[in-house]
Parts: sequence; structure tokens; C-alpha cells
Amino acid sequence: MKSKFNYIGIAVVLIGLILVLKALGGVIGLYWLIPVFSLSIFNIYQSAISDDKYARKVYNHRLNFMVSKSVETIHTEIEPDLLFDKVVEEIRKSKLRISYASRKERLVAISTPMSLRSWGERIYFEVVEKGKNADLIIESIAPGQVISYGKNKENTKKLIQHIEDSFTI
Amino acid sequence: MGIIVNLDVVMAKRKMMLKDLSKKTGISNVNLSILKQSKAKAIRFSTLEVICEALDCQPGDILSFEK
Repeated sequence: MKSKFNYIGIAVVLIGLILVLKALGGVIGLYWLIPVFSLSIFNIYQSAISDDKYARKVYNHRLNFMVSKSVETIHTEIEPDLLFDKVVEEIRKSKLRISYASRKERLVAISTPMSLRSWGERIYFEVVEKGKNADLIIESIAPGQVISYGKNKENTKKLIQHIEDSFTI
Repeated sequence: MGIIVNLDVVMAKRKMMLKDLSKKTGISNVNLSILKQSKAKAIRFSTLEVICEALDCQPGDILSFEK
């Protein structure tokens, strides 16, 4: 679940910002540290709020360019509550850490820890009612990563495969 | 219609609750509910075996085919 391109993406953005500052002319001095410092603080903030209920709103904000995400939907013929229970059960079996779960919202969030290679990944499972049936929306978000180079999509596909396989009882 | 799972019928005949069957077989309540509602994608022989053993029945009692 980690992307080795995490720092490359951040470095590209930072270099871009520095070049923009240089292009603006004048003596930059240590002012280049401002975007570096700001983005680092913002990334630490994004990681710190990962367990928070409102983190998803921050990650999905249209002005937040420091995230990469992938969204996939599974259509099922299962009742929403049963599908929610099934998802929670499968997550527990796979020993992933549930950071947030709400039966009322039918939302489960899991997170992978931050490491030297990654800022960690947040994956949201949302059960959406479709009449008697339900759809499962899997949203994989990598905060702090501008580009995930398909890693998010790959992880989402793995999760979809795992959940679909779990319907073989 | 295809394959129909008659687990609820057999359970009712044996007067067995879902949680009791879950305890006896080691299959989770959620998976038994999915199976009972015929929403499972497939069923393993091992699963069928433990259910048949717990309910003292034949696989044909649990599964049927309807056109």
C-alpha cells in the first residue's frame, strides 16, 4: 500500500514552486523555505487528521492538490446493512486498522501507517443504498502524494478482488 | 431463478437459529445470512460439509435448482 514515488511527487511540486518564485524575480534569500515549510506542515496535518471523521472532506476538497485518489464502485444485490457488516468483517480478517466506522453513515475508513516511503494511505468504504440492494464505493486516498503512478488504483483493484472473492463462502 | 439455497427451510425444520448454526459451523453470521439469501457467488465443498453435518442433512436439502 505504499508508493515509492511519494517524495518524487512532493519534490516536483516544491521545485516548481521555487522556480515560480525565482521567475518572479528579486532576491529570494530564504523565502524558498516558506512553501517547503508550508507544504510539509500541511502534509503532517493531513496525516494527523487521518483518523478524524472530517478528514475525508479535507482530502476531497477541490483546492487540495496534495492528494491522489482512486474511486471504484462494486454493484451488489445485498442489503445495505448486511453489506456493511460483510465489509467490516473482511477488513478485520485482513488485519487492516480501522480508523473510523459508522453504521449510521455506513462508512468505514482504514489507514496504513506513515513510513519513510509513504505518508500512509486512507481507504474509505461507503455502502450506498440502491433500493433493496447496495453499492460499495471504495475510495483510496494518498495524502501528501501529488501523483500515485497508478498505485492507488492497483490497491483499490486488489481490495475489490478481495471483497468479490469473499462472496465465495 | 437458478440455484436456490433452502438453508432457512432446513434451519426452520431443525428449529435452529442462525447464531447457533454459526457457532456449530464456525461460519460467521454475516456469511450465513448471505448464503441464506442466495446472494453468495459460490459455495465451497468444505462449507457445505460443515453445514450438512451441523444440520444433519444432505446437500440436496440445502440446494435446489429452479428454471
